[in-house]
Amino acid sequence: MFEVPITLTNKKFAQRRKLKYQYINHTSRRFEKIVKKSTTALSLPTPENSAAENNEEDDGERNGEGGAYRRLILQQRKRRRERHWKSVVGEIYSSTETESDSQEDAEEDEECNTEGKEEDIDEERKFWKKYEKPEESFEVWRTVSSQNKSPINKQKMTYHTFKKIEKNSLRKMEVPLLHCTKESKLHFQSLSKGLEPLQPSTSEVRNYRTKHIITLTNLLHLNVSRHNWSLAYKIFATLIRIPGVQIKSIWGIGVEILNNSPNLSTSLDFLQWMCQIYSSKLRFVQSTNYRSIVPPFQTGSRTHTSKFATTYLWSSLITCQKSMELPDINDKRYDMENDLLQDLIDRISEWVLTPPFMEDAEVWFIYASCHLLKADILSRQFANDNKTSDLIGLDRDIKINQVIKHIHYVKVFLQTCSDKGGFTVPNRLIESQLKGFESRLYGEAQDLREREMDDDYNSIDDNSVNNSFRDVYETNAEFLDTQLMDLSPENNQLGEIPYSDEDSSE
Amino acid sequence: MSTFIRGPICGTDNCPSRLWRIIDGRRTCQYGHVMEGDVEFNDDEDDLNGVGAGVITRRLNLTTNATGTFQSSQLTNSQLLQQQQRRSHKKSKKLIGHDAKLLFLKSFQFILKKQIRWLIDEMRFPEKFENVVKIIWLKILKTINDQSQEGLRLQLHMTSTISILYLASTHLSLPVYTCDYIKWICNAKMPYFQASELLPKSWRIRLPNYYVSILEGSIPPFNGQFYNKIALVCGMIHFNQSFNPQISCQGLLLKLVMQYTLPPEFYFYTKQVIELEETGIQNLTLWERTDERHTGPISNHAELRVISYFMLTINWILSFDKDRQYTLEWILILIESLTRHTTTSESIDKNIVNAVYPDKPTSNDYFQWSDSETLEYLNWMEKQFLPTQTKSLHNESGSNEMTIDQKIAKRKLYKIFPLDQGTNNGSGANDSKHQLTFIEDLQERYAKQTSFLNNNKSLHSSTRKNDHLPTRKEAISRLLTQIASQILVDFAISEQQLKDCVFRIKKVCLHKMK
Repeated sequence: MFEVPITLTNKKFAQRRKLKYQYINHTSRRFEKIVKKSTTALSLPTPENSAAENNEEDDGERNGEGGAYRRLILQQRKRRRERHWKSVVGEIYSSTETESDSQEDAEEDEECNTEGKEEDIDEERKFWKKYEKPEESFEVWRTVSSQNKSPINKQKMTYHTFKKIEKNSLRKMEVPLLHCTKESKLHFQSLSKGLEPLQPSTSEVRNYRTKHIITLTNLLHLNVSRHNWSLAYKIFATLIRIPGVQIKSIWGIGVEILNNSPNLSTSLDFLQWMCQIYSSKLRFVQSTNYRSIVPPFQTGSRTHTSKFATTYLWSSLITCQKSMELPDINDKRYDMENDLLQDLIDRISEWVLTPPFMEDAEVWFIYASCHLLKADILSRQFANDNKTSDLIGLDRDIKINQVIKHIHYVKVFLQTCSDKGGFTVPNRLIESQLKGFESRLYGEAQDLREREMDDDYNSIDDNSVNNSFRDVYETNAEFLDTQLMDLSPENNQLGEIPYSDEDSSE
Repeated sequence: MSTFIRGPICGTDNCPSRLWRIIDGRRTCQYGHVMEGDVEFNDDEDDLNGVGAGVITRRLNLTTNATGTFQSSQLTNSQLLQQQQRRSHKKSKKLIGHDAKLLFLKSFQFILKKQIRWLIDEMRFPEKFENVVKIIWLKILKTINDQSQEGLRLQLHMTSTISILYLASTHLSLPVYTCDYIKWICNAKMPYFQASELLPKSWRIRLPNYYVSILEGSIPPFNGQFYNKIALVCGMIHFNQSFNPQISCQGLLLKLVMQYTLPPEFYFYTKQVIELEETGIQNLTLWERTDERHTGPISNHAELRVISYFMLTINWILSFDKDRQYTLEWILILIESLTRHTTTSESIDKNIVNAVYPDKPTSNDYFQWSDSETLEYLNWMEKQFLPTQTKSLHNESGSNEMTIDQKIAKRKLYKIFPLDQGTNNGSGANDSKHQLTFIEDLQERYAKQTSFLNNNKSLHSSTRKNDHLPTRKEAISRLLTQIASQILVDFAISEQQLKDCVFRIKKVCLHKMK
């Protein structure tokens, strides 16, 4: 019923998959053979493809192709006429057809022989090779490069040709079907007729251990949905102890369970463990067939950090920030939190700055946010202490320098983040916030202005959480800015809310 | 060594290269210029992993490659090479041909011995049992020995072990049936699944993978495989000539009657039917199958015949009774009690067996499990199932499959998720008072239905005259379906097989009655 955290490999499944892809490959090969004279390549009807098509028509490039197409049609007509005349003359129509078919078959066989090396390749891999597999999902829309543009295949196909292709492929499949079980034969036949067997693959598994794993997985989902956390915890703990279970596909549930049940270990421990063991910075391999789970949820690569890693970073950043917000902060507490945050910063820096370098913008953004938080802590301490005027002379200078250093880091890392691309950042907000930190350093003259900005952040914070709505953000900010300017300072002081870091609440 | 590292511009002879690699410990640029005064002593790619040169830290820093397998950053090339060598060395030790077969027979015997010991120690089988099994095993070995050397086929499977045990218990007329063996192996009480882990390490290493996978017994017997195997072993050693092939039918009947909490009369009814049809109850003997290819009609198996008679008797008695003794209410109550979920050790065992078999009507029962049932299942998992599965982690003998890094990682994970935590304090008190014994449960079930049997009949039939009650015929068929669904799982046969068997027996019975 639910997805099982093991790879279900089975002779039966392997055979079924093989048959399926063999059939698909053969059909598409036949199809291409018929079509290839007119159009160049088979591609998905993406918007840019159709745009490319239009462009070509505009450019008047179709002369060559159109000519070829017309020639093909002429040829076909000629052949049809020939056949017609033959049937009129007396030869039996069907016999000629089978003849031509057998001829084509011979051609096909020759082709196979010439492609002898390719025959060895797994049919499934051959199929998947044709498609680009992006990491976040298995769908791709090539909107970026114009090189890959190719026109849509607009050629029509008669039902007769379609039937012919189908018949041929089915005949080709007869040999492999001879050697398989009745069950897989039925499975294949129903698939080739366009039917989808309703039975999930797990319902046929008989293996003793696998069956128990399936039972446990179902019970796990059931108890999590019932919020029965103690039972769910026990199931999870049992499940991960069974050899063969991939924790990579159920870590999310594990985190949720740890969050919801009183335990010695927290979800952060678990996520840290996941990061240590499974994060990888290697490049995404196109030739591997990832069957079920999208790669970032399993391992991650250089350009895409694994989801458990980003979850870990975000949640540890949030815990840092939360513990900072406790109402009574004495100096001791302060230092400890600083240490926690420093720990996190060290860890990210180790991660980001060792080769092969991290290419994911999100991690850089988190890195910048860490420094932002740090600058916030330091500068706030400064502002608090300023009242009692403890800090004087050299000490004060050192602390100011620290804050400025962190502010500088934030700017640098944000720059890298935007350089990497693919991750929109509320730049304007952060900048104004940084200005606020700076103003804290130099007295209370600009206190008022700072507070306004604080309110600013808090209100925006409620509106939009997701960074992808950057436009909404910015317009909102501007709008609020002008509004707040009109308000009197007393009002603002009444509405003062404990300071919160807008980044970490994302 | 071929990976380039980005560095400063080389600059020698205006060389534009920024890429460096290390050849023989010296930094060399893309175009072959050697950097002056820079000699790397530690050539284990330390700088690639962010570990400072000369500092060796033993910290867990595991990464995975694209396919998800571990690759340790700490292991140096030479260490990896060593590991590979060690591994390949081990592989070469596998036996082949005749030697492998001999070792397999030895291993098979070893597992058989473990099973016998468990039966004698835990299930109080008589000591004589061991001798009987030995004789049967020797007979099997003899038939194997008689075959020619070339076309030698062992025809042994893990089901053969329980078949042999079953034959021995039949010879001694012990009240043990196929359902018991299936229950024991599915509950991981008797060594069966992952039995190859029990073997001595030196044997397991040398045994070919094919035989190891046989001894893992990965799939429990289904669709009557167990019966077929028993019949085949019978035929192989001509069991009926030298042993007692009668199954103890009375015990099986008693078991069935008790399991479905039927009134004791049913025992006698069924027995009478059997005596009528089979020319005496002694005639229920095991079937010797000599044809290897075809399994033959399913009704050849004596136990299945008894089951069929049992079901037919219920059907007939209830159908012809017409509310005289067994009222409609009673049938409904009976159905209800059969579907009731309890937490006796018996019902937990049943739950586990249900969970093991797919494509049975009861195989998705666990969606209806109560919390305590789930907890019992998990307890069983922890105590019985996990030890058989994860032996290789604790045991030294299994350590060759995992690297040290993987072991450390596993241990850390288990520390994050300890098994005995939180749930124990709640369930401990629960266990002591809630756990019913089998007898108590049985008494309770019988007590519940007594009021609906003959004596109070008039009272109940008058008070509970509802329109939505099913007809008698429907109720009977529902009861039979309920019983059948349980029998299918207990005896590991398919629905079609049971139907066939009942149908055949019915035909024979009707024929005789005429």
